[in-house]
Formats: sequence, C-alpha cells, structure tokens
Amino acid sequence: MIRVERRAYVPTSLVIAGSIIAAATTLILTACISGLVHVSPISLAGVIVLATFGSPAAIADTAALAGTLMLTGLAAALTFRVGLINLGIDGQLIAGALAALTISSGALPVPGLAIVPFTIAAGLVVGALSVVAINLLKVRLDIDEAIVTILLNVVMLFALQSMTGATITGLPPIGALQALPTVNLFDFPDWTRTLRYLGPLAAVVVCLLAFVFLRFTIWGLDIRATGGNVVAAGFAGINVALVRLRVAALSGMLIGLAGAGAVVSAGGGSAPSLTLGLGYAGIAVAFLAALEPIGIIPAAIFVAALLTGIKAASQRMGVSLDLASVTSALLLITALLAHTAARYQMHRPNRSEVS
Amino acid sequence: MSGVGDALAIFADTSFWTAAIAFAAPLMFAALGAMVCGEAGIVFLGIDGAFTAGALAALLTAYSGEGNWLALLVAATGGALIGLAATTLTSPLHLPQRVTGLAVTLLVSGLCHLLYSKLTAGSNSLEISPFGSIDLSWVSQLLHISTISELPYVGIIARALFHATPPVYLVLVLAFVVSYIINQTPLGLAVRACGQNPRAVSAQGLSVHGLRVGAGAVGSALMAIGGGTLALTGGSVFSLPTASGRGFTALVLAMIAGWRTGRSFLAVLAFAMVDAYQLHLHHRLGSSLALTLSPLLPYLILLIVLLATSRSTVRRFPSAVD
Repeated sequence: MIRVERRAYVPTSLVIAGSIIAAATTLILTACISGLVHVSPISLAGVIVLATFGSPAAIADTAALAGTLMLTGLAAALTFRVGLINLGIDGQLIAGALAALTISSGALPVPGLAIVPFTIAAGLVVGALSVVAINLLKVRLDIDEAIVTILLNVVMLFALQSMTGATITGLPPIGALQALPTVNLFDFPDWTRTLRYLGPLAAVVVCLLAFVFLRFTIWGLDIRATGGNVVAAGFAGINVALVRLRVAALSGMLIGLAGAGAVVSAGGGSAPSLTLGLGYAGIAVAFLAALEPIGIIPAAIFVAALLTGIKAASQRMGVSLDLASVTSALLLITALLAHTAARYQMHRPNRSEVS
Repeated sequence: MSGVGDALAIFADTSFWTAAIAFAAPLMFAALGAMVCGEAGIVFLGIDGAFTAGALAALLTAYSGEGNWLALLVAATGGALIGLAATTLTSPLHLPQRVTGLAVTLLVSGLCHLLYSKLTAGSNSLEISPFGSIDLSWVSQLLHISTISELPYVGIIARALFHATPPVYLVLVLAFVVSYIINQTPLGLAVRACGQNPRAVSAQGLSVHGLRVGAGAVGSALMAIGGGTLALTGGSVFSLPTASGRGFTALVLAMIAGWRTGRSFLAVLAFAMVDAYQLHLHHRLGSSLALTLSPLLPYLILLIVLLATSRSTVRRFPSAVD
C-alpha cells in the first residue's frame, strides 16, 4: 500500500524540476493549440525563436519585456507570499504609467530633464498607493481582495477606453496583450532610450536584491515567516499587519516602476504604447518561479521570449494574439500543479508502520 | 433640451425597462451560478471564462442552424465541463482557489477568443436568429390583473416584464428550483455545510470534494447559460468581446447580496438599470464630454456598494473558503 504524504521540506531541485516540467508542458500544449487553429507548430517555433533572439533589436525587445515581467512578477511573488492575493497588477501598472504620463506631459512646472525623476517618482507613488489601498481595504473592511482587484482591472480598462475615446462595444478578453496608444507631450531626449537597455539590467539587480533581502535580513525573515504560517508568525511576535503593509508598499512601487519605466524609456517625441495583460503574465511568472525572487529572473526571460514570439507570430502568421493569454494561463496552471505535486511524496510504509 | 426632465423621462420609457431586463437576464444566470458555488465554499473566479465559453458555444450552435434552446443546452454542458475541471483542480487537488480561477478564466476566454477570431477572420460575422420576445400578457388577463398595465410606471414595468425573452422566464423558474434545492433539501443542506463547516460534512460520511465538484459543475453550467443568454438575446450579430468582464460583475453582485437568491436578483436588476440608464442617457443627450466616463458609472457604484456593505456580507461569506 502506497501512501501519499506531505513532505516536511521540499528540496530546491524538485522545485526547479517542477518549473522546468511546467514550462515544457506549456510549450507542448501551446504547440497542440496552434495546430488546432491550423498553424504549423514548427513554423510557429521558428518565428518565435527568430523574433526573440534573431537579431540585436529582437533581443533588446525581449529583454525590455523581460524587465517589465521581472518587476511585475516580483511584485506578485512578494504579495502572494504574505497572503495578499493581488490580481490587479494589470490595472495598477496602467495607473502607474498614467501617473507618469500626466507628470511628463507637463502637469508639473519643472524645467527640462528634471522631469525624468519626477516622472518615475509619480509612477512609484501611485503604484505603491494603489496596492497599499487594497491592503488596507482587506485589513479594515475584510474585503475579498482577489475579487475586488480583478474587478478594478475591468474598471480600469473601461476608464482607459473611455479616455481614449473609443466606442465601447466590449473589452479585450481578460489578460489579452493589447497595445494601448497614448500621447506623451514631453519630448524626452534621445538618451532616455538607452533606459530601454538599462531597464532589464536594473530589474535583474532588483530581483537579486530582493533575494538577499528575503534571505538575509530581519524584515525578509518576517516576510518569510508570515508566508510560512501567519498564526505562528503572530505568536513569535511579528507584527503581521505591518509586514503586509510593507510588502504592499514595496510591491506597489515595483509595479509603478514598471509602468513609469514604459513611459520614460519610450524615448523622445514618441507615443509610448502601454501593453495591457503584462500584470497577468507577471502572475504566471511569479508562480513559475515558485514565488522565489531568484527564480523570477529565468522565469521572466522565458515568458518574455514566449510572449514576444507570439506577438511577432500574430503579425506575420495571422495567429491571434489571444494565444499569448492562453500560454500565460497554461503556465499558471501547470506551474501550480507541478509545485503542488512537489510538496507530496509517495511513501511505502513498512510492516511496523502499517500495524 | 431640459436636462432634468429628459433624465427622468427615461424611466417612463418602456424600452428602458425592456433593456434593463435584457441586461439583467444573463447576469442573473451568472449570479445564480456564483451563488451555488459560493454556498459550497467555492469562490469561482473562473466565472468569466465559463460565461465567455457559454456565449461562444451558444453562438456557434445557433449559427449552425440548431435551435436556440439546444444552444443553451450546449452552453450549459460546456460550462459544466469547465466547472468540473476547475473545481477538481481546486478541491481534491488543493490548488489555491483564486489563482486557479483566474487561470481558468485566462485560459478559457483566451481559447474562445482564439477560436472566435479564427471563425470571424475576414470580418464575416456570424448571423443568428436570436430569441424573440414572447407575449405573456394573457397571464395578467388570466389572473384578472390586466388593469395593471394601465397604472402609471408600474404598467410600464409590467408591460416590459410580460413581453420579455424566454430566458428571462427560464431564469426566474431556475431561481426558484435552485433556491428550493439549496434551502429545503438534504442535498442543499450538505452543500451549504460544505461552505460553512466541511468537517461536519465529512463526519456525516459525505464527500466534501464530491459535493464541491458537483456544485462547481452546476454553478459553472448556470454561468455558461448566462453567457448563452447574452449571445442569443441581443441582435442577430453578437460579438464575443461584449461578454468579457460580465462574469466578474455577476460574482460581485452575488457576493454583495450575501449569496441569497432574492437579494442577488435585486442587486443584478439595480445594476442593469444603472447600465441601461446610462446608455439611454447617452442616446438622448448625444456624446457630450460629461458623459465620456458614463459607462464606468455602474462599475463605480458597484465598487462603492461592495465597500459599503463589506462588513455585512462578510458575515454570510462561506467561512470555509481556503
């Protein structure tokens, strides 16, 4: 008789294996789905590889997207760790970007380049405030934050559609990647374009810092303890509410940074287009990385490559861009399954245990 | 144009009430489904996916020339399968409910839109013959309340209610059936106990997982019928994106109502009235600048009500949601 038991400790190798299996399964399933809509999986794979790593420009595109996904993925991982189920990253990202746009379009009488730090600060502040607000609503009013944030995403989409003056016939499907043209009145100098290349590097550094923060600092220990067992953390004297507030502010800043970064790095005289759906992809990244900051880096690169590839395929091969949200969803489900399975083990009890 | 007079005149318009009831019907199905899940201790965030899938399934069945009732049945079957899969992941396999629900919505609605854009490529729209309204005014004559339609205001509402589409009557019947089963039968008691105290259910020798998976399948089927209703009661051309986001709305409405049938119907009707109202206002006043944000109005009111009632709904929220 074989028993399925919960492991006391999940070895890192199993977690990594789980992520790899999830990623591989997703690739196979995506290939099957593309076959179903009459797109050859092999040519799709070709387009994806070419569009992501085929040229320096393609690599830069993938890296830029990976940078954004690292920030949103890390934000998701941190909040999920302390039990704040923030599914509204998409809306918060847009909020941060809009705040940045408002500042850079001349809401502040700041001369010249001094506007750049203000723009980024606006994104940080609005991002942090939006997640902190959700956290406070959860703590004070005991709302279900998952449902409220997901509804807020819908509201945010409606708000955006109204603001851009589009006639409202419907929303893009939840989680769909959709470029949203905006107007930036401020003429950023050309060098801000280089932020496009620095951005992903900065995101990697942020992930590494988060790893060190979680692993080697007292605040990090508090976060890990809260994530491990809220009740035990409370008994150990950790102020769980304060930990959650800190994490909410921190992850909000990460989301806002991603939003403001998209605005600033779009460069001078251009209309930055914000992409909807990256918040949901960020949640997939977080779970693929098993909520570990260090795992966010490869997970984000993988997801960024997939999404960039699918975007290119939608332009060249006529595949619908909806394949991107399908891929994110598949990653999310397979990663959840793989990491849940890794927490259990088969055990064949010997005779004495059975009796 | 006198603004205030015009704004009030909308309420005296039969077409406003017809629109409100038409908006409400799909949401009522979905809210009913959310209620069944909620009673069993499931917060089913896959609702939007089930809703979209139901809309697409019904649209395709009706387009292929089968009847509209069969289309609703196909939608229900599809929804039940989605619910079965999703609750199997969350209940026996212990995946986190909310994230899994989100993933189900992303997956299902993504697949639906993928299929839909494949089918409508080259802008050939899928034309269907939607449900027509049926005349039930003979019921009022039968009950000797035919004078009701001559009363001011009430008459207008009654006229709209007695000339609605078949799914509106179906949802009313289903609501009675579902709330009878949930509140009056041993099965319903077991389902409610799953939401309140799963251990008590296990102690009785019943399977919590089985009951939850069953409730998830039934609830999800109801949500999908909601999507089907949306597809089959609009015009002869239905575009799938209009279905997006409505499932979540219905879930929030059912939550505000504390998972009670009657209350959630009132909540849905109120939401639909605000939605129909802002649309009528738009038509009357034209697209003035003040109204650019009016489509947001129902959602903002929804959020405010949700926050305002959060204290009271929490009391009725199934305590065993993990």
